Amino acid sequence: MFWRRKRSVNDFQEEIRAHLELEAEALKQEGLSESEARLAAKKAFGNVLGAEERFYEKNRLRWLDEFSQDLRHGLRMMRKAPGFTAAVVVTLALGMGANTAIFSLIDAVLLRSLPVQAPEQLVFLAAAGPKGRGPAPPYPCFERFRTQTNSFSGMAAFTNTDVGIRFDGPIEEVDAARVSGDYFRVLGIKPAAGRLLTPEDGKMDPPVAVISYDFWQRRFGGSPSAIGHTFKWDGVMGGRLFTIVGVTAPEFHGLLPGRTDDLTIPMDVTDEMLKDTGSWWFSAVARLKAGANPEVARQETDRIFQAFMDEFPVPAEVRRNNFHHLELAPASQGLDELRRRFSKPLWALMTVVGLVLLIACANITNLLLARSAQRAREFALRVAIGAGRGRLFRQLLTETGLLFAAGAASGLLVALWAVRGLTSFFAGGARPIQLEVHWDWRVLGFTVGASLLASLLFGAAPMLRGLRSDPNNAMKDGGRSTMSRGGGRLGQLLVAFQVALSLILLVGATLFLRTLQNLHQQDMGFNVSRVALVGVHLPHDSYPEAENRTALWDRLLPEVRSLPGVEAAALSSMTPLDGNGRGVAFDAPGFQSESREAHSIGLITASEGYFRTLGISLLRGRDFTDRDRAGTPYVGVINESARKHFFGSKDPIGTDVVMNKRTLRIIGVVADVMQEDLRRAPRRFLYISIRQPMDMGARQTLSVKTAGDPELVLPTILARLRSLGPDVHLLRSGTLARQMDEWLIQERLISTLATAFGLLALLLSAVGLYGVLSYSVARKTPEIGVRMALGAMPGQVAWSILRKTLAVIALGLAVGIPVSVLVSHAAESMLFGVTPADGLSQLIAAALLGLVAMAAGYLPARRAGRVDPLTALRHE
Amino acid sequence: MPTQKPEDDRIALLQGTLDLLILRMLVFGPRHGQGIARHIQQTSEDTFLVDHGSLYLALQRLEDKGWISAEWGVSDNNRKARFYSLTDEGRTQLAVKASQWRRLARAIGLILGPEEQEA
Repeated sequence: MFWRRKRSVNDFQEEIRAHLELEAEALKQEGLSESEARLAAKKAFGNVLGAEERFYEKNRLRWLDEFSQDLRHGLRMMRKAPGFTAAVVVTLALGMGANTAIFSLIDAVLLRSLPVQAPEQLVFLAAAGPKGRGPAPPYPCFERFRTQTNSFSGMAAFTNTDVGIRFDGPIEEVDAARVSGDYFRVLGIKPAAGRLLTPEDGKMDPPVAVISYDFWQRRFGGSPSAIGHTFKWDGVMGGRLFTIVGVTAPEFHGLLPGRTDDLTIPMDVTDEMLKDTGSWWFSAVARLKAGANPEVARQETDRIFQAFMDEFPVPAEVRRNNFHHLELAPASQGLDELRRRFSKPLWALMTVVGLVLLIACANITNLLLARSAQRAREFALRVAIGAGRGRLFRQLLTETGLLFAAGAASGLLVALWAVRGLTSFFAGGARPIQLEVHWDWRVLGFTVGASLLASLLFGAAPMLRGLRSDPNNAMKDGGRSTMSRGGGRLGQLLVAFQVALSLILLVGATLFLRTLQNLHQQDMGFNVSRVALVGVHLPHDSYPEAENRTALWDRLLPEVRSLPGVEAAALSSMTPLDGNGRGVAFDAPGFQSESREAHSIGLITASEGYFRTLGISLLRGRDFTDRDRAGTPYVGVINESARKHFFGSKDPIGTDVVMNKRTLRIIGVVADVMQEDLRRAPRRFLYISIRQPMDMGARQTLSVKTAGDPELVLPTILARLRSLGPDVHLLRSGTLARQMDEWLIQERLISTLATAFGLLALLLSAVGLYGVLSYSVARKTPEIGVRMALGAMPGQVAWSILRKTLAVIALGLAVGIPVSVLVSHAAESMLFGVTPADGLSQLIAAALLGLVAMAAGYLPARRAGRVDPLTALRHE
Repeated sequence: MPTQKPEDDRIALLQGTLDLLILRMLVFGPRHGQGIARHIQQTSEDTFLVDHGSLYLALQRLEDKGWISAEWGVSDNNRKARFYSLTDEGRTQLAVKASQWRRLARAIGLILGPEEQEA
């Protein structure tokens, strides 16, 4: 019962003193003199100090004493062998650092809950079907959920949009959430300042807004005067003046991981939208009552949903595919778009860094083995003078644990630095992904757990070897040959293990690099180089009508085209891989299909010169011109896929088609473009003229083909656009190449990191091989000396070492190649244009590995060949 | 040392018996360590030599086990001393140990046989 408060040593001494006095007193009464009595009492007691010591030992936490002893000893040992310590700590720091960094990303993206009250009670209400999960049902259905269910304590609707708001100066683009009034109450968010939105605010009378803590700091420097500030926003209901009433708690960023809702405003929706039974325009989050059964809640809502869908039917195909039933998706981590995108790459990377750690640990085992062989004499001496094996084991455990702890601690520093790089990788570009990487108990627990496991797993063999040292042998021959042959073999097996793991990593890295290369090099149908992009928005206030906007476009295009360094310029509603999409229904004469899907086509509004600017080939007919205007016949251009699908062998040029009840004439056919996805075949697309728009078209993207680096021309373009008028709202700008890079963020992330970790693994394995061979050469120097003295040639000696290297590499490759095929299969969906069993990738990896390993093995071999027999033998 | 036998005649306590004797001594009420030692010696007609150092460690051990409890108090002759008393647990243990010991003593007695035959 070591936890009980122990009696102090002083108290015990006090008791002994009392005893001696009592005893002396008694003896005195029996007739002894004062001094005799004292002496006799002491004599009868025996060894006072001994008793005290025994009491002390019994009462102390002896293991704690010994532990602190071991700790001091361990630290001393670390200081005494700085080279060894540094090698272990640096190796571990790299391995643990990589693991902690990737795990903290996993924690941030995949594991962490939203900083809301009782996140496990939150669910998203969404219609779902075999084709995936969609938004919440139309508002009237949502109203029924709200009023006719019992399982929920609250429900809120929200949508995320980018909005352009204006305080005093120019329009600013901010990420916003438009929410129903009880949004914050349902989530249980507290304000950092002011107040949050209430159901009352939903009436927008007067319009109020809440800002995020980050925005408050960034835009207002955290000043209290931010509250009461007003801004203007052109919403659905036209320009309104909003007043900021509060700031959300610092940790809350919204329901979309990776994005921060800088502004939260009440949904300003028209009555028509609220009554519309066919519009699916928002997401819904609900809180289950404490103890409510989610399945019961789902059935409850699904019943209402099915009744609603029967009442307001949609085409059977759509109902079956997309609106089949209502789902309660756990919302504790927010909408899972980010998780869906990154869970696979992140787990793949976690595997990669796990393997790197194994390789690093194998090196450490080898180092520890070598060291325990060196220290065999020390251990033998300890055993000889009476140290118990158990005690020795604990000491070794402490020493090993200390090394791993130092490695893990340095690993945290490495991770700190790596995480900074990784988050900036995500936060780069026009659509930053803001990751909230902070180290919570899970990350630290992971690091501690991993280092403990590693130290036990990889420190065990060297510790056991240390314990096994036989005092007799060790002392007899000066501790030189205490490392048994088995020890050398274990070292070589570990190196083979490293070679196998490195091969897996290198094959993986090669596969990912080739995937990225294949994605880049395929025919995308457009030319990504030298194109600058600028988002342009014409606010409703200044450009209320289509004519106003067309007039500006007419002014804008010649201005940009006249700039130096500009080869072509065009406007379009979308650009390739910008993440936008718009689908419409399309009817061509002679084309018949019952399926809605078969009639769908993607729609892009574009100006003349768009195809030329992006390098899209015009296969037939003509491009738009600036004369294709509101007053002239409506025209359209289709892509090759659409032509094949709707027209087959017929020539579409000049044919009148119907798109969303509008008739237009096909004037051209262009090549297919990888508009939305680089991994899938292009969809059907229809282009219409920007001067004959379908809808408002207030937001367009300006594409500019430049003669040189588009980044250099971009400032000139922006300056010219600003000079067009105060009300031209410029959105994000960048280049098409960067836009593509952003689309490829997962692929770039994984190929960059897999390559970096693959090379790290290669380096670690080479170091491991070099270490094992050097050590074995050093230990065999006398033997080699004898052999040389007996007439062995240097080449023979060197070859005997090299042969060992070859055997190790061969073993590693033999195991590594089949395993790498298995491992790559798990990552198959992330590959493109290569198969998991790709022979070329294996060849590249094996060749690289073999080359580096041979180089690492060559140095010790050469040293062995150069052993001078005389010097070697003199050592004996 | 009038009341004590010559050292040679005394028997060192068997392992484990000291605990039993201590518990027995405390049946009549709280005692301090020195009192326990004296009492064991006197009751055993000076047969047992109680190593005082071991006695205190044994007391500590019993206290840790919760069989006895201790408290500082004042002795008959007005000296400060630590008084030990039996706990309920200690009382139960005493009964168990005493019966064990009696069985052991009887068994050994049976094997050794009557005293006269030995000579």
